[in-house]
Amino acid sequence: MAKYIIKRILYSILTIWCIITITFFLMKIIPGDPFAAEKLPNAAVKAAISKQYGFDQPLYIQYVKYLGNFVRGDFGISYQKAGVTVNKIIGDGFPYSLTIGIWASCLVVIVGVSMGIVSALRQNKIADRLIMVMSTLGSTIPSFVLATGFLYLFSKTLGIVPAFGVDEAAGYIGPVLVIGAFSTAFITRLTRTSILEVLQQDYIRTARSKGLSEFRVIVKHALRNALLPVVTYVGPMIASIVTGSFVIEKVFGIPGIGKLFTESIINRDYTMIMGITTFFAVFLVITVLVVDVAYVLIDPRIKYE
Amino acid sequence: MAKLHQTKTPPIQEQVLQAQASPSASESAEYMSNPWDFLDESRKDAEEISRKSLTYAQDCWFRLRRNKTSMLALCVIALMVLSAIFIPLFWGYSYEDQNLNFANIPPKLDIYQLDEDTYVYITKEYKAVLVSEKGDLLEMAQLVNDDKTNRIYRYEVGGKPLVIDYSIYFNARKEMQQLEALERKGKDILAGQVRFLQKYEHSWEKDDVVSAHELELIMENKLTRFEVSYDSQVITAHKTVSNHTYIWGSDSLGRDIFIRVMYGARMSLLVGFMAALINFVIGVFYGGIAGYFGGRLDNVMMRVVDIVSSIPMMLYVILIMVVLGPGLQSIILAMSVTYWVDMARIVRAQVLSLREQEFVMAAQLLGASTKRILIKHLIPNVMGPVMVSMSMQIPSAMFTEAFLSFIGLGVSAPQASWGTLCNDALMGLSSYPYQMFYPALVMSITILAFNLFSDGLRDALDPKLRK
Repeated sequence: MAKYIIKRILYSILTIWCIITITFFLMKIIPGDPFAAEKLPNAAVKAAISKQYGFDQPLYIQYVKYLGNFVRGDFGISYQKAGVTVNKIIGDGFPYSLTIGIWASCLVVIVGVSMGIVSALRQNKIADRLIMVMSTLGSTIPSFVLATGFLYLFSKTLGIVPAFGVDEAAGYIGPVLVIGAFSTAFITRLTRTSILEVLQQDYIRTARSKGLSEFRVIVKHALRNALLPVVTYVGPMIASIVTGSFVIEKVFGIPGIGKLFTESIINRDYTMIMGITTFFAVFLVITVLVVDVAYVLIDPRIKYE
Repeated sequence: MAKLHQTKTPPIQEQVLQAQASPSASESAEYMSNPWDFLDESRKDAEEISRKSLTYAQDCWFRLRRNKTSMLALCVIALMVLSAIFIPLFWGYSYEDQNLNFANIPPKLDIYQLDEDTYVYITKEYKAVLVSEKGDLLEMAQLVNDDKTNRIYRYEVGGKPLVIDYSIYFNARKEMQQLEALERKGKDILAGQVRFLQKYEHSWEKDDVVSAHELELIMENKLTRFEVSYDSQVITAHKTVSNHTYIWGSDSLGRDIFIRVMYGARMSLLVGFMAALINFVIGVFYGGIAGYFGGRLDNVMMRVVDIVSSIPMMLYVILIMVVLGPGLQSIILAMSVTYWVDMARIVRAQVLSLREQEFVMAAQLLGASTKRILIKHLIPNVMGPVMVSMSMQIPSAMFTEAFLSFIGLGVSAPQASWGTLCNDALMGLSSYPYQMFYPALVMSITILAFNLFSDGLRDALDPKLRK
């Protein structure tokens, strides 16, 4: 077990290193200089700026320096917002995305799984049909359409939630619902299919023939096995929800990390892009790692190899 | 092997066995009574399979055809594709034709009757547009004077003055600000105090206390925005007609939304199909090779897949845009770079289990080359899951395209895709919701159709999975 976990951690570190390296060199091969757009008064100023950002040094030294800084958790200084560190910018934006992401993840897991259970246990009855229609719609309607529809209905027509920003707690309702909609729909389907499959297994028949109550059969025997594929999906899903969605942050006017990322891309703010990409990558790799380890603990059938 | 078997005549024992197994008991009894007679000519056909045997594809198609939902979805997709191809060819406007006079005209018009056959529509910007009774937009009315201090537009139609007074809402707004200030000081607002309430909304008693929030809702939702008078008489809307010139209305530059949605369908569908096709080619070969060879090569190839999939797609998009410039080809390329990994994983997993099966060993023993085994034996066998995953990738590619266009990284103006249309409509959402509604509706319906179709396809290709 310990060997397995250590191996997984090493793999994760290797993946993160690869991502950093690829992103770093990809950024460097982009034609054009990040300061080309600015009108610099003379060559001396340009040289000074290049020196400050370390452009005057050979590429491999820049790379080693970047790696060194990364290990110490320093993402460098933004190119566009002079003097502000990337850490600070991420630190300002991430809490919004994190709050929304955590709430949305809770919503997704609780609502998605329970709807999936209801739907599977009432297969082909009206509740099942209704939930399936809803989950089909949830995975069909683009998030920005949902978001604008939500704003139009609840903000403009009914005036219940604020149209912009998250200064009030009510401002979080829309983003959480909209971000969670797609994954909720997906998890509902996943849970339903998985439970239906498990219910046909022999051990369920055994459990029933032992005379266990239906509740015990479902909760103890069916759910525990049926939720395994859901756990696999939940890890990367939480990572992607928490790292923010630009569209939803744009529509609801939230200064989150998704917005920062897209802005930095449009502004060609390379250190920001690097910083956020590696931040996302680390986040994703860690969640996947946690899920993988948890999976082995939950499902003893899986061998550590 | 199978072919060889068919060409040979079956051995005698087998014939006898088949004859014994024939369904009719009396016939076989008769046959057994004199085993040495020649058979009747007609009996020769007894063992023939009268129906054509179905190939796997035909069998799937048969099952798919019985699934009404997915056939309906297929029809919707076909209709969408055909109209995306053909409607722009003969429609009266092109996607880039603008008419600034007819900007932001909704699909439903409240028209005012001025004369026997003169009708006018007042836009949200208080422009007067002459329309026919059927709803054809004719021309702008002649503007005489734009009185900004009193918030009045004066037009001349047929020699008589048409006056649009839009001060009501603005005065109410001004009043609201004073009332809100009053409420902030902690004083109650009485209905009798509120001038616009007195004038336009009579359900309140004079000394009822109203909150600023209630007042704002009344102001936003109930108050008329403007008052129209023609020849010094106040007139009200005559009737509502459909816009005949622009059936789905026009956007902020006076372009026909219908044709832009249809044109956007071209872009979005093209992106969807191209992305699916490219991913199919790359994913199947990459996954096939990784799965078939296995071992260290597989390990390395799958780590590459892990790394490619953990770099955010946005990054590829940006890099490609910087090199190639924004546009359709960049979007398609960016999606090809990222999406093939899922396909590769699916194909690899399938090939990993298939390569252990006997038919692969048989092919290897017969001396088939690796290339032949992959292309002729393994890939046709993974087509089921691959087709399903392809039909799911089309809507998700369309999603991504819309998303990229929505954040301004998509096709550039005046071209349109569903994402750019929605993005353009976002600005004026509260005043012109129809500009968002139609592209969003068409997009949702198309994606729904693809999803339902791929569900049906999955059931048809693999009936075991059917739940």
